[in-house]
Amino acid sequence: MTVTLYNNSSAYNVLHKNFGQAIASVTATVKGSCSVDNPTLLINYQTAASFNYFYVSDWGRYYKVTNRMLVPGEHMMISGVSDPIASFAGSIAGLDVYAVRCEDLTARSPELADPAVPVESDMQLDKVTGDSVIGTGSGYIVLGVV
Amino acid sequence: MSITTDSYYDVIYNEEVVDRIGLSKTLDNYTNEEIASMTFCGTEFSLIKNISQREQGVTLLGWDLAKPFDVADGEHIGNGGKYILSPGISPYQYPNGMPFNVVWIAFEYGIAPPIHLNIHEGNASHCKIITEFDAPKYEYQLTAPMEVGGIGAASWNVDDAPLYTTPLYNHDGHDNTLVYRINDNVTTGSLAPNGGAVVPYMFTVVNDYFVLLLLCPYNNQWYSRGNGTGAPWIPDGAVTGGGGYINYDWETSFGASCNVATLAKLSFNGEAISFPYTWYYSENYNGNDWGAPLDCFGYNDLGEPIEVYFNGAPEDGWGSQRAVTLKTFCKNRDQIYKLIAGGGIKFKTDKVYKPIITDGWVTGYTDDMNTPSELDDWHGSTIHTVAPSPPSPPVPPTGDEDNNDPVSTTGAPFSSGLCHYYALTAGSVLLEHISDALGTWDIENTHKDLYKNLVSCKLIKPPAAIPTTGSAPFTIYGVKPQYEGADITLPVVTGNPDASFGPYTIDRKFGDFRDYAPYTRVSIFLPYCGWCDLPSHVVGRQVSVKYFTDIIAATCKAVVFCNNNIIAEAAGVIGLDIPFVADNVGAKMQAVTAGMIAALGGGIQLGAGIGTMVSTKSGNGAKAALSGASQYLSGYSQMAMAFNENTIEISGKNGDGCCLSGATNIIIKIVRPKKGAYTDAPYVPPGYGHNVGFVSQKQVKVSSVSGLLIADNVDTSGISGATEAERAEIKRVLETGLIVNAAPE
Repeated sequence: MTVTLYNNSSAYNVLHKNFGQAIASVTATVKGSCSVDNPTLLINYQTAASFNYFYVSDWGRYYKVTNRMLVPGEHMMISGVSDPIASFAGSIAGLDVYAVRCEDLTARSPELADPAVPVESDMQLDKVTGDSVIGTGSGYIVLGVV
Repeated sequence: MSITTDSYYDVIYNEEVVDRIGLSKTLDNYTNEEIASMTFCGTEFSLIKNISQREQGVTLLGWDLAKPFDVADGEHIGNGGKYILSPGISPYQYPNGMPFNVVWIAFEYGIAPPIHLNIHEGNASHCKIITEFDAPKYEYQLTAPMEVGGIGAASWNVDDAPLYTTPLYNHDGHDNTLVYRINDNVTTGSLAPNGGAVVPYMFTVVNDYFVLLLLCPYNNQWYSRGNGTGAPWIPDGAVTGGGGYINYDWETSFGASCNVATLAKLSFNGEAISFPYTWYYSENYNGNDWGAPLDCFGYNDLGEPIEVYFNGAPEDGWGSQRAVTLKTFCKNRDQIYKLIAGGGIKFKTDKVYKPIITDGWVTGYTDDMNTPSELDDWHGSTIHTVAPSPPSPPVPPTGDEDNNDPVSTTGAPFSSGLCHYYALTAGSVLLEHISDALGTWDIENTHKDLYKNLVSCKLIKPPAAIPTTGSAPFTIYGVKPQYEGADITLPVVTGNPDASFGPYTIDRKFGDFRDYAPYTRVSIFLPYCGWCDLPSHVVGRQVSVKYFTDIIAATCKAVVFCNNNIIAEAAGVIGLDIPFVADNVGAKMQAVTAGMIAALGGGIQLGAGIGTMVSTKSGNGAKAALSGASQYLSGYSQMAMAFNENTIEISGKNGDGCCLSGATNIIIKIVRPKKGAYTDAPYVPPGYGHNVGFVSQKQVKVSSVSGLLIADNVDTSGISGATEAERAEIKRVLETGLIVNAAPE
């Protein structure tokens, strides 16, 4: 089984993580029973500090490294936890979802109230001055007679 | 036809490129039928061809690269056979729905001799082509040498920086190509050859369309506007030895000669835009069929309203600035407007209005484009110059769904036959005449008391002039009391002085929910009535006010409209009740009577002068005691004084918002939060969108947005291959905040 080692520089909740170039592709061996979601693998690699993610092509999944243990014989025992965001990024990108909030202005609904937006307590007064309704003349005397 | 460009045109026939036309290649080798389509640098466009030497004047051509249209023949375009080439200063027309903008080069005139644009020299191949390329390509075309010509040579500047000079008077017969980029401001320089005053013209190219301006004078004929104050004219017969003179003007107009309240200018966001100036060639010219008006298309590609300034009065000279009236239209993105001078103007406000032209005259406007009009085939018709009649501004509703439409009382109360009303200018001496006449009549006719027939007397300061029907003799109880032997003529009231004001635009500040309640509050001061709160949805809209008045009660109701819907109303007082009542008169008359009785009892003879007066007034020659007469006069004076005092008495009748106090103008007050330190839309702290996210509440595809996305009730069942735990994790992340970015290349 081949495992590709990466150094991810993106946050966990980023859809398409920045793995950069693969650090190495190494042979991995399963020791005993192994969880696909939280696997522990023996790999032929000992450069400890250079990777924090690995990809198991046979399983089609990315894993965030949770533990690395050097093993004699230039081997390393690595443990990881499945990152479904990275593993299924393409499928997630195709999902239709109901967006509650969004950074993208194209999805913004500016007319909907947003209580999180800070609103200044200080007010400004704008004025529109319209037409003069009451003239400056002396007016009329209106006499009503029978 | 000579198209000058350093690009190429492909001529395609039977789906094959049969020729590629490069610089200055003539297309005259092809007939209309042979040319199936053309492409410009690989993009299909439509050909406007066959501009022959017999075409006169200016032909403005262009097309939208994205929307090619067919060529029917050399003079028609589009399936509808729209006319595009014209003799003379050519009209043009494009298929309905085609976004298109026109760039029209303006040439300035000085005093005689005007600047002459000699572009032809009798050589049919020497057309002037001004090309315009769309912005993304940033292409400059400058294929012919720009030369400083002879008389009237002038600099053309782009964005106030000299680009090149071009001969406006050119004897060398070169083709000339002027090229501008989109959004260039192009101004003519000083073009007065003889020191005449010159007003530079400026236009801004606003649309991304390919435009050609072809100037093709006909056989050395002169096209001139003479001294610049009349309509353009063409001398009969060909003029030899000179050149084709084509005169333009855009910001000025021919209003002086054709009585068209023509367009003054267009602007877009406060900037002048491409030449919408359209003018009409007078039907006075009978040497050709130039009876059709010119028109102009525009296309709103930014979603801001187009502003049209209409000249309000005929101008008296070139370049003079006149009072203008501003109207806005074509308010939405992707709308097309069309302006037609001579045949009226098709406005685009809430609707498109089509001039209904019958026998050459605009008889009305309709928003039904299927209504027949000679506009449909205006090339073949002669359309007279008429003052454009824009659609009426918004008026109060007459048949909407609400049941609170105010109804004016104008008319009915004043023609009931029971009462009638006279309107005098306050302070008029006629009031004293009435007082005198009534008092005299009552004394002479003691069995009647005309004062009791005065039912009301009010001082009114209405919002408009009180409608009257001229003057008529003052009549009360069927009697016409006279003053110094003559009838007193007074204006007779026929209606209430209702008045409309506005509309007033209430601008938005934030462009979001903060423009509305509870953050923003709007109120309006209605003179006569006081302050009145308005619903905050008026922000970003227009409001207008109509006063429905009642001069019988000296009251009014101010009704505020927004989009023809009533949104507020308030009652007010427009005048003061003058307490002129029969009781006052009765008391005074009682004093008079008592005085007369006392005088008669005293047996004192009436003095000669007074006696004459009484004799004259009573007609019975009765004698009266002098003291009685004195009392009589005293009483009469008291009565008159009472009347006069009462005319100025305003005790206790005034309420808040009375017309005699407070502001006289309508004032709309908008109280809203300050923007604080955030000076740019959307006026939130930096990083707000990324860290908090804007409210969306929309269904979106994840890949269609970027940045932070917080979703609700995410359905992950469509993700195949994931375990339940993984789907739950995906759901959790989407509902707490997923950062969407583009997939790596």
